[in-house]
Amino acid sequence: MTPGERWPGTLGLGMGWRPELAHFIDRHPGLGFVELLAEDFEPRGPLPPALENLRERGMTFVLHGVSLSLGGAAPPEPRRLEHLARVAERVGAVLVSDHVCFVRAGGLESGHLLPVPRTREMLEVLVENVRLAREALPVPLALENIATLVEWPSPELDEATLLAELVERTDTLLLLDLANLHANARNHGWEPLSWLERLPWERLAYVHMAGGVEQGGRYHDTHAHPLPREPLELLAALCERTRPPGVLLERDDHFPPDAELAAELDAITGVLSRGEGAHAVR
Amino acid sequence: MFPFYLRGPQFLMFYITLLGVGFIAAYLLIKRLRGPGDEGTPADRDLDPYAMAFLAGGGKRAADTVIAHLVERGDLVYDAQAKRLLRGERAHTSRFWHPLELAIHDSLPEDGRSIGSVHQQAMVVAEELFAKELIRKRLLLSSDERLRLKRIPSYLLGAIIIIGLVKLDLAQSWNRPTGYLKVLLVVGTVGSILFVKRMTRDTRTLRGKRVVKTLCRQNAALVTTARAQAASGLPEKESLLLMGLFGLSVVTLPALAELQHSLLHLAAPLMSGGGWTSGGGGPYWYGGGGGGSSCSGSGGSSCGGGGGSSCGGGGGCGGCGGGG
Repeated sequence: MTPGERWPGTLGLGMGWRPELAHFIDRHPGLGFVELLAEDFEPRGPLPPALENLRERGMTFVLHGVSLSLGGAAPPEPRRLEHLARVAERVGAVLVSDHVCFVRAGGLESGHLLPVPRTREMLEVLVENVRLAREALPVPLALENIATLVEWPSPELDEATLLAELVERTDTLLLLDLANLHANARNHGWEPLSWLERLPWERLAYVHMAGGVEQGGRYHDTHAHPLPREPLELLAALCERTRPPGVLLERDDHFPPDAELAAELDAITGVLSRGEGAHAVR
Repeated sequence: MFPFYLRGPQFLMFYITLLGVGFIAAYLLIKRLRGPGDEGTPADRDLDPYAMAFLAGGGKRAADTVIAHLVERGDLVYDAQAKRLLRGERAHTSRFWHPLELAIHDSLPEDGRSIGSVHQQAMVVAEELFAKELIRKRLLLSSDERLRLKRIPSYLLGAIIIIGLVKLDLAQSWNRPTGYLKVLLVVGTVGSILFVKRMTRDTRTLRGKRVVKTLCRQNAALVTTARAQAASGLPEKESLLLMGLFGLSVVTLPALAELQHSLLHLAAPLMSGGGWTSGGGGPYWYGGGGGGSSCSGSGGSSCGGGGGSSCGGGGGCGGCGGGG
């Protein structure tokens, strides 16, 4: 598969669907897609009416998982893959995504997305796990970079190179989280622009944007604070290099008034429009 | 004469079939007597939020909604200890006041009135304000239509019961065993009474029911958000719509907690026009006891409650090993 063959191409502006945001999403014009959290849905039974309404109106759904643990030493559990595949079919998702991380080991659940050691050996494990996942899923799989407060010692690869090799070798798509990139750049001293340069843009499925907060000398990707300037600047830098097929705003807690969320979406749209203008001039 | 000369077991089979056919016919008759099943014109569906509440849940729903809304707005104050409603500051003098809001607010004396009495008054005013208009739009049945709705299926089922009674009388005069027939008659009579009562309690037309169903479906996201305890962020119009269409039980606003408790325990007396919300609960067609719930399943979802997270398997996204 080449991404162009199976990937619908354009998603537009999106929002992470949460029950608290259902009304906002329902009424906000201009949203092209919503992202559903896979673990919140069952493979059988009717969809919540609020989502049925969106589907009837032609909204595109993508499914986002947090529990495959693709970076685990053990292969992804068949029952989790089966669940993800069935939920993707049930909701009619055009794409499934999960993170390049691990969330369990030795029978213990971390409850968080944990970073993988960036080594050649780890890359082989990831490639094998991602291949298994991809084969089990009925729609394309996209892989997302995570934000981390800790790093494994002595990395052999930088994160962008690891991601690029992983998606190329597994023929998967890329879900680029610019808020996570900003967090890592801020906390670990990475150079985000050169990080961006190393990615295979033709495999970009969509982009995550979210808010966070500076606390204790570190940036925390909370999804519960306003969208700061830096991820928007990274989006602008991204738009100079490529047209992202979709950009999605995530908000998971401390839900602000509708106007505030709308302003964040407008800010994203503004960056995308300027990027479109620049591409048109070229 | 057929069927009275049928032998016992044959008559019982015949009578069971007759009762079944009678119930089906009564059901179809009731449906037909509810009038047109279309959605009406856009003008028919253009209702103010209180009229919508009245259509969705009768006088009780409209009364619940106006009282809750005035308290939320600060124009009424609820004294939970005394269970009395008092006038607030009426700070919103420049804004539009709905006639129902005005009637409730302005009729309160200085020392207020019991919540039951205010609620009762609100139901009466709502009936006066909305019933005629909703009947004109063929969303509610008129009193004549309501009478027909009750009488015609009652006559039909009543005739079937009378056939059974005649047979019982004949069988007894012939000294035949009548135990099974008596049981069947008791079951048939009780079933007929309950059936007619239940099926005719809702006095909306088919169009009225359809309009409410459509409104509930269109606003499903509203109740999903409210159930995720995010109703406090809703604009006033949406908040009213939510309470009117889905009932107070889906709204979780701290300012209304005590009031909601009191309102949910107020029984709605049967009243003409607004009487389809008998009992203390919401309309039965939403399965809502205790104050009414939402359009079936609107807010309920297979989704985990709010604040989904992108952290592996739960937890907040900040401050953890990694944020997704």
